[in-house]
Amino acid sequence: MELEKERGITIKARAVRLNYKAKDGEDYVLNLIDTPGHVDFNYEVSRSLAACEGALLVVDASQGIEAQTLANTYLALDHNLEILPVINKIDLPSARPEVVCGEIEDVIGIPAMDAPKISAKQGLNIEEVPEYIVKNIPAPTGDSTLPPRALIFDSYYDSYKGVIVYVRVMEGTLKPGMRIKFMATGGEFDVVETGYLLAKQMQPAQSLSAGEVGYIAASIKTVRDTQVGDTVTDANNPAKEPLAGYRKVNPMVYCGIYPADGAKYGDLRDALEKLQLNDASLSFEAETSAALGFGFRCGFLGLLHMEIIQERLEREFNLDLVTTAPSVVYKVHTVTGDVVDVSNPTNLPAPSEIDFMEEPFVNANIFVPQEFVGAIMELCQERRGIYKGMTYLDADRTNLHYELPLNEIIYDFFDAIKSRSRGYASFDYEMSQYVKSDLVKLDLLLNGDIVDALSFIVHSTKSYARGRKIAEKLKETIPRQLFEIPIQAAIGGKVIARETVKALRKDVLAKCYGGDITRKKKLLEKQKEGKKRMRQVGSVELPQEAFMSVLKLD
Amino acid sequence: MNCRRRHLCLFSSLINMIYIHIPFCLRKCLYCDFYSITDSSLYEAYTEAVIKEIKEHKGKNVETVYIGGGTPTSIGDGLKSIIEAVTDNFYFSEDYEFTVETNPKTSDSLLINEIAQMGVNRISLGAQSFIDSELKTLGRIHTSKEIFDSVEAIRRAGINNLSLDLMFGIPNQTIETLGKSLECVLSLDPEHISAYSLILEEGTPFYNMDLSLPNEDTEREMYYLINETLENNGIYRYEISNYAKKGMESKHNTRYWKDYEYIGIGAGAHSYNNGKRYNNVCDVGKYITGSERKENITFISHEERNLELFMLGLRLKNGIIYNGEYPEKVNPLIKKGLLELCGNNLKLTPRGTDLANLVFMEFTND
Repeated sequence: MELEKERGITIKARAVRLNYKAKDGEDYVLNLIDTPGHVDFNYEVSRSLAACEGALLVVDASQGIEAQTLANTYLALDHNLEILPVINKIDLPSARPEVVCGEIEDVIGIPAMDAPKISAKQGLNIEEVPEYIVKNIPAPTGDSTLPPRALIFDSYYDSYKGVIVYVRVMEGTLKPGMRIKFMATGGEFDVVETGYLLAKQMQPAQSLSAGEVGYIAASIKTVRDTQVGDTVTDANNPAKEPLAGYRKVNPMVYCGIYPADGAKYGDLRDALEKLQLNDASLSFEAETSAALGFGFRCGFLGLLHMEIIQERLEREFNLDLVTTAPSVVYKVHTVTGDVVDVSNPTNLPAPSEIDFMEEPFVNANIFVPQEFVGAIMELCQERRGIYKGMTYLDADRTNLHYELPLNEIIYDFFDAIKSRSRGYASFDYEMSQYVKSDLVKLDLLLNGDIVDALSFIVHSTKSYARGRKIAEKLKETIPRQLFEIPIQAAIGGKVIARETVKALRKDVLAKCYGGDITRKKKLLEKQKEGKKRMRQVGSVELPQEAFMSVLKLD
Repeated sequence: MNCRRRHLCLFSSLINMIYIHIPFCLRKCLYCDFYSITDSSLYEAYTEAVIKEIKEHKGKNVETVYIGGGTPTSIGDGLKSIIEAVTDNFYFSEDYEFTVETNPKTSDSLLINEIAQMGVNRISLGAQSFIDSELKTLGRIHTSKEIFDSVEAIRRAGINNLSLDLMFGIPNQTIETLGKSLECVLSLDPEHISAYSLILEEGTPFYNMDLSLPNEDTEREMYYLINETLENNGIYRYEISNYAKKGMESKHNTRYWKDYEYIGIGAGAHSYNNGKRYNNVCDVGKYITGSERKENITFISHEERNLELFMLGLRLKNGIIYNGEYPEKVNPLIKKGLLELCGNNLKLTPRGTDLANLVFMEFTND
């Protein structure tokens, strides 16, 4: 993916089949899946792990173990996999492979004496890796003669072939011509093609049998019939039980996504459906906003995930989007005793109906060099973190444990950690529990009218400062218009901050003679283009960035 | 001037306005984004090339000629040769207007006298400000006193149609200093004034300088002060940035705003000819060699032309004669208080004059 290259991160898991002749003279088939590391994409990791017999834990020889290294190791352990450490990037001047091996043994507790020390970039010692796999990872078991069961671990939409599903066959055999059934959705299709996923292309194969990883094309046109985690079986000779599948992921962060041009609503739905095939952790449902019209409330695993999805929608589907501020899911206990999940601040019941509210907390591990411990602890305090303790990774590094409210870390916490540790700290978290909390809904009013897409929920101790900041930010982002625009931040009916965008005084080209006409016309056309991209909200024209200003705190 | 100017040729094309561009300056002003160069070794060759182009249009009837720049008077004798070619090759109407732009550093009385003798009857003098420190900030090469000297020379040459360029929104300019400049302007009793607000154009030294510019509010106050002062003294605004005594409005420029066609001669000069807009190559060297002179030829469709009539015509204080065209564009603008109908005339309101781009942009292509 272009986006992965630009950002230098892995977003999507990638599967590949490798034919390998080992030193013992035997031919082996290795099925490898490369996975992302960032916590926002750990659904990609856990899905891949379920399709495997073992895992290579690749550790950077200069960075050492990072918070996500630990998190991903635990995921692999959960799946009972053989874990093999590999030390990469030994070509870097700051590489310290021996120290890192020690860290792996001390911190994670798995032997690392035999770990290959390689440089994938320069091709150093890489031949050790497949040998290492052949020697240590057990070959898949599974009976090819049983009724087939294959786990769908990924899928995508191909405009010619329809939905292509990636499977790990656990038992039995799948081949073209066979009528298959998706056990959870009940959809039945005729297999058109089966094949292997090679490094550069997909290679059709006569069949896929137990232990193999590959793809199935079956002219599947309806995206909804395929679900990652579902089990594929023979419709005429079905397996009795589906495979364990995947734990359904619960999105942690929600935001509203709207087409900039209201007429593109259908295109956006189409795009989301297709993207969901390729990214099962994305969820969405239709919603409407008074300010933005028809759109979708989308759920993500984190802010990076949200950013990536937005960008993929814009790039891969050529859509122009307006997104609202992200929100976590609050549990609202009403006076009548009901518990309501609220992920869209607009849906928060009236204060008189609310008994109390709870917000999600996470357990966070922050790996940080000694010298930045103070700075990071300060940051966690600012974000309402509860200190849980610290452990020493080695003489120089510490693992800080905090409980943090999710709504304090979804915005810019990751960046803040990096900037306060000069890039050295790493961070990982998992959901812990809901905690009763003093939360309020902050509304923003433009010209006296609440703009629903700008409302958000915030801890009461932070509401004043946030209200002021956002009002200031909006003042910067909203261009001067025909009339003066008052901006107010309010809690309930009470205004807590006010700014004013003054009326536009001047917008006129002083000169326009014969030689200027063509150029000035172009200028005016450009200005008109910019005006068109604004969202009309009541009497006010809002640029798209205004909806994200709630995000930018610094 | 010879007698040909009084006899109109009945068979010449309809275009009767000519613009001639002289892209030379003694020095470049810091705010200027027009193409001009300071290399005097090219004067002669350039003059020849312009005269050659003038001859291509031989026999045209003209009502207005405008020689602009740059600083046309900076090339001295070359300018005289060009004026001679103009009068030799075109037929002038009875009430022709022939303008030459100049600046206070290049308006020596001898040259002004000569060109007045040759038929030039209007001078546009780039005064900009009468505060020496402001002139220096702008990178102008003249002083306030030199403006007075130039005006004296121009008047002595018998020119009774003088236009002064004035600038506002200059770095460090205040309402007070603008007031002083306006007093000086009035003491010179010009027939016409163009008052432009300074615009920072990309590619100019000003664009990248850290300047203390008057804010938007002060800048508008300056505009209102100019309006009020000049109108109180019998010099009326007739276009967004142009003022004149009754009957002394620039005929040439008014034709641009009425969307007349015109022919541009010289490097970088724009033409609007036979429904097409195009420009000559900007680079003086390339212009002189004459290869591939015309660039950016754009055909203006009937629809575009109708839109241009609004975009340009609404710059005029009295606006345009309105017959109900584009009600979907016009009515909302009236409702917003930017346009008004006075009898048959559709024109900018005072607020619309400050925010004219919001009006003009409605009359551009989607």
